[in-house]
Amino acid sequence: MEEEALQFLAARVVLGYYPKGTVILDTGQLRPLAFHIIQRGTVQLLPFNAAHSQDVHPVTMGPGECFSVSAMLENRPVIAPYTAVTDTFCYELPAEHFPELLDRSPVFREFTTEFLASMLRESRRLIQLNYNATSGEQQTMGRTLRSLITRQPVTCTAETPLGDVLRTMQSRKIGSMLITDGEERPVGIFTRHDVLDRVALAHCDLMRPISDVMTPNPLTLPAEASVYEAALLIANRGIRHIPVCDDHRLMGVVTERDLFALQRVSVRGINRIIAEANSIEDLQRAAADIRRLARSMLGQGVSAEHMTLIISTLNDSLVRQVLDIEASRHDLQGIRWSWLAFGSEGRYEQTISTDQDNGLIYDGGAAAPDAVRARLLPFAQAVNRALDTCGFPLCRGNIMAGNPHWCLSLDEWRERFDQWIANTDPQALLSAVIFFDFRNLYGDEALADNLREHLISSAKGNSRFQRQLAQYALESRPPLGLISDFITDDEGEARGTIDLKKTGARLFTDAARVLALATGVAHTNTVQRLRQAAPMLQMPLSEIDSIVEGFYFIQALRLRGQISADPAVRDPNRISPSTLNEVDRRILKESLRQLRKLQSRLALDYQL
Amino acid sequence: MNWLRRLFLRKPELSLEQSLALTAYRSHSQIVGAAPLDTLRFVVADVETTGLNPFADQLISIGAVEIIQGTIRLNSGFEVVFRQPQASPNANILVHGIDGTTQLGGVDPAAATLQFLDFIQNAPLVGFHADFDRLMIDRAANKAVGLAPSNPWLDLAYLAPAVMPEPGRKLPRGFDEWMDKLGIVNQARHNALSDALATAQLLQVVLARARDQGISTLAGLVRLEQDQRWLKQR
Repeated sequence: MEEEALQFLAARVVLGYYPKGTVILDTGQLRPLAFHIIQRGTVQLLPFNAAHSQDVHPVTMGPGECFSVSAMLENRPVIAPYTAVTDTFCYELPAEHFPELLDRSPVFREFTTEFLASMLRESRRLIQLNYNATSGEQQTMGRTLRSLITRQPVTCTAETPLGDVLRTMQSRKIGSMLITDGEERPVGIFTRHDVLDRVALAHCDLMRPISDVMTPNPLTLPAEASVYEAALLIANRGIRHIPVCDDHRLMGVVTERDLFALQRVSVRGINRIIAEANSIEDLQRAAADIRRLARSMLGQGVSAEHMTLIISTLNDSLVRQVLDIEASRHDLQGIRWSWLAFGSEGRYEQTISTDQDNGLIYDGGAAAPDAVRARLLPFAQAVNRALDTCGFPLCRGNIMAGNPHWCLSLDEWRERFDQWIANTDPQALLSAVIFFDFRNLYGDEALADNLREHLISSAKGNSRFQRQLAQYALESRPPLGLISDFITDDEGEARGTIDLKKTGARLFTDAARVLALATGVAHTNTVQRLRQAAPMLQMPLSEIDSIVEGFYFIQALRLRGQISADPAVRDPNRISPSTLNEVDRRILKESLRQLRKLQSRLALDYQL
Repeated sequence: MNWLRRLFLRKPELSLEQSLALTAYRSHSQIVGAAPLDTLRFVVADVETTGLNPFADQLISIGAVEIIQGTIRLNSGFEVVFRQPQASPNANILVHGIDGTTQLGGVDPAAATLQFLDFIQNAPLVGFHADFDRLMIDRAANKAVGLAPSNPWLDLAYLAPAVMPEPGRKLPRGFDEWMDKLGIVNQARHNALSDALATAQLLQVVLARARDQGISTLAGLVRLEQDQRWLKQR
């Protein structure tokens, strides 16, 4: 530590003595009265989740170590008692001097920041362990069969001739035919497997009714049964198809292959499916697979960082394939175009439920821009519709390539950005920020690059524009009170919750955007923006690491909400801190504190 | 009226300011025996001298540390070197490390004594083998300002074994053995301030043990010390 800070410390510490067994800091205290540095002796604390975990090793600290950094920083009680396990002497800095020590000593400040970052990492690991244990396997095996059934069953009556049944199975490419009575109750099942021994080898007359060869009274499962039950039945009885009934009426068939597909959804598998797809229908299935993969990845403890990246990558290939298919159906001869992704897709931060945000840049050569646009729009609109059927809902703000406003020539785009930057209408700028996160997703990359260079060169030197953006980025503050408790919304359905998107992830994103545009960083990804801008802003990397950890944690919470929540019931971005466990709550608080730090930096830079 | 007689008969020459400082010291009220230990301010003192004969040798320096509510105030250590008419012999200097120049350039004894009185105010004084410290300080103070501190003294040489009895095991005997037993590090042995700091840590331990044994007032501690003295002298 710096000489001057050491002197400051030395002039203010007192030396306290704690006989063996004394509790030095207890959870009951409103906040620690002093920051303790062990001079001699041993102090132990039980990790905060001790109550929930079986094999907890107490953390033991010796001379030179200090506590409690986080309780002091957050001005709150310690989470677990600190106990002297041998006779212990501690230097104690009275709490009122702690903030000044942070101010005076960059070394000490960095130490505390690094300490918190490591705590965040550790806690994230714990969460993933927890999550894995409770939901990994269960998430798939615990799903209901109802959620697995995607299409109407193909059925016939018991009197249907065998030949008709075989022809239907052939044309519909199905592995089984369900035979139902007048009230849609399954009375029999006939599978491809049965064709060999019951029809072909038995020289069965194709005019005979299906009831002669079907398996009567097949085993069925109710729609609310779990995948696990179906897997058991398949394994124990050696059957491949299970009719699923809702209130005794047939609602679908679950096959062995459906169950295997559940387990075998992999990044490579999905990528191959996408690449080989030649219809929008194939891609719809792939889109469903991507969501399924996301679920199982979260269960396996994949970090939010990797997960958003994987989802973005797979979604990218899916969108490219859609574009390929639709481009072949439209005449785009002689037009250079680039399909742009905006917003979270542009930042490679897609979570699971994401609207479309896209646009087109084109260069039609000598042709009039309007004429080129007229040719491009039907294509773009077809892509928008196709993406909608693949689970990317149409953008509510109509920011889509199929909208003539966002299907523009390069010159028009440059003009549009110039207007935003020239800042004639501040309100317009604010609604336009997501455009600054554009990237080329497919097509002629040179067009997007050109636009990017234009944006960087005009934004970098324009301090008024930067200030405006910074102002916007600081409009919302993290939902933390002065005494570091959550500030939750107190009205209506959102009562007691905080919005992880509006008052969390988005604030990180907004701040990172300003820093990137100010320093000329071309990347659109929030984390990359922060990391690349940091050296130019003289921000220590350790500080950035802590901020990044905080961002990822909030993203992970959002993902978790999106996957587990019933999407119809509530906003998956909302979370009620009181329902979080102690670990999550603590890290969330710390993450929001990191966000506050990032915002203060911005406020400082732009004097806001 | 011993002090009065001394003040008037062998009146040391004090300036007006020094007289006022002395009056200020005398005006502190005595700490009552019922005072709870948790809230008390103690001053742990240690002296360095020209030798071990309390009636012939001279006081060279006093180091002192205060303990308030059980914690050592590291930022308010006290240390003063009394100006000597002549430097002590080399063998003695090797013990405490206060060289001749420092001794000769020390603080005027009257001023040094008043500084010490101002620091201790009415706090109970604590030492290890405190009788020696007390005698040396009293003699020097009497000579310099015509007054010996009236503060109560506590001796850890008696209190420590009283609150940390270990039946069947040999108790530490001197200061250094207690330091070893408790693992207290003394940065500079035979530096008055450093010794006082180490002694203060011993006092912290003693106070905590005394509390465990139900002793919560100054009077209780004084009684415990006197009982132990009586035991030792038998």
